[in-house]
Amino acid sequence: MKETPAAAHEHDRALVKRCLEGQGDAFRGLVDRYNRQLFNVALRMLNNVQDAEDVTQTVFLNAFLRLRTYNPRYKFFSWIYRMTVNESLNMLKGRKRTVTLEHEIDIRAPGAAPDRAAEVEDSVGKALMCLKPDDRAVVVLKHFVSFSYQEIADVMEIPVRTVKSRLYTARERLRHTLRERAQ
Amino acid sequence: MNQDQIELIQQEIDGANTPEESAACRSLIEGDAEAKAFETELRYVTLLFDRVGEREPPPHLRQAILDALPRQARATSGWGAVGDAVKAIVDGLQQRPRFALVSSLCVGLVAGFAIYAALAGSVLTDRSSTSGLAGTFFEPPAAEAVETVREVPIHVDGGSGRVSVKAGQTIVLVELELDVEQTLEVRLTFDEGAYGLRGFSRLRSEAGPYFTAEPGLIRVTTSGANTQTFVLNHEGPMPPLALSLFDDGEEVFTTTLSTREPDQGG
Repeated sequence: MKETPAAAHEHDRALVKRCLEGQGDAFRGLVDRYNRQLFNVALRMLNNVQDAEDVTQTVFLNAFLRLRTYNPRYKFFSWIYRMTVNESLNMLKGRKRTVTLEHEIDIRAPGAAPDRAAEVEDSVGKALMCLKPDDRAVVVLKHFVSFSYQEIADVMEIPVRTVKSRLYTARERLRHTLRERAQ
Repeated sequence: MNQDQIELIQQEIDGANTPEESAACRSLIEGDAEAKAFETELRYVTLLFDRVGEREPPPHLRQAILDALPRQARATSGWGAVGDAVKAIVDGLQQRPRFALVSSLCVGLVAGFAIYAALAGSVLTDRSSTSGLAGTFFEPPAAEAVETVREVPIHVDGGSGRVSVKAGQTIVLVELELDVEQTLEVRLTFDEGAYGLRGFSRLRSEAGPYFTAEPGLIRVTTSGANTQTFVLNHEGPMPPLALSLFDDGEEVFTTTLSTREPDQGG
């Protein structure tokens, strides 16, 4: 059964507390709880498995080293997702060359024959890379982590209105891409 | 459509509307062809994302994360075959208190590098097979807060970057961030035994960066865009740590990184 957000928050807080008390296996618990989700966020942000692995690994190392700076009044997942998004954004800034992928996009228009799952994933991955990184982060948190507007706002440290605006901008961009492909 | 109507439709698709707002949205869509077309396209885009499920992380990722962490966090992951040999030496010394204080770190450093060099050679080109070793050899401190104590900007003809030094009570994080056309060499030098190398992030660059580490010296060769973090540990106040930059074998600058020295970065 899936944890409620409140239960997840309490579970995380307990693990962090145990970790700060020196119980080393507690951090393993946090790794087990979050490594899959953080990897997927990084993957959608970067569209590269190796880079996503790097980011996930770096985030956990940084999380461990900075655990004492984490304020338990706030949600642990907001904190660690924020680190993941920021680390992904940093990696994107560090990439020397920016490859324009628009012409590689192969998203079928509504009504077209069903794509195979891998094709859809590939197309969505490429489409995401056309978005500005900040817009992409909002889309990723909304669609791949199923966060609410407020949760995205907490992670990104931006107002809810900005979340909606970025989401709209990103979707508009994707809509136009689809239209162009359909023509 | 106005902005409020667009937002209403977007919220409906995201399941964020109240029942009253949902009713208003349905009414809008039924009575406005433009709104209906917008809603259809937006829903399609949303469905497209929903069709992409979670990707299974690579099977080695979890262990790689644990290997990169300080030993307390890994708990039951153990020292590994090579680490056991070092641990045995350290444990033996720790049973003799007179030697334990100074020797545990030094022996870890020296023995670690000896075995490290024997197994991996003096040059590391692929972190995936060596990160665990680096994390294993040195006794890590407990998790502790770090804060930025120095930022050294780097400007050379072929690019720029910076080095950030973050310090805690017993650890120092040296973060290199460079984007340069040429191949540069960064050297971190310190008194032998003053620091242990506790971990490092993945080395990455199009030109194949690598580093070599030995007591008193870490040497990084880098080209292109590269970010790299080294985690060093020490005892007592932060010992001096010198950062030097070499371009084509010529020293560009050297600066001492500590909480006390002024910024001399070039």
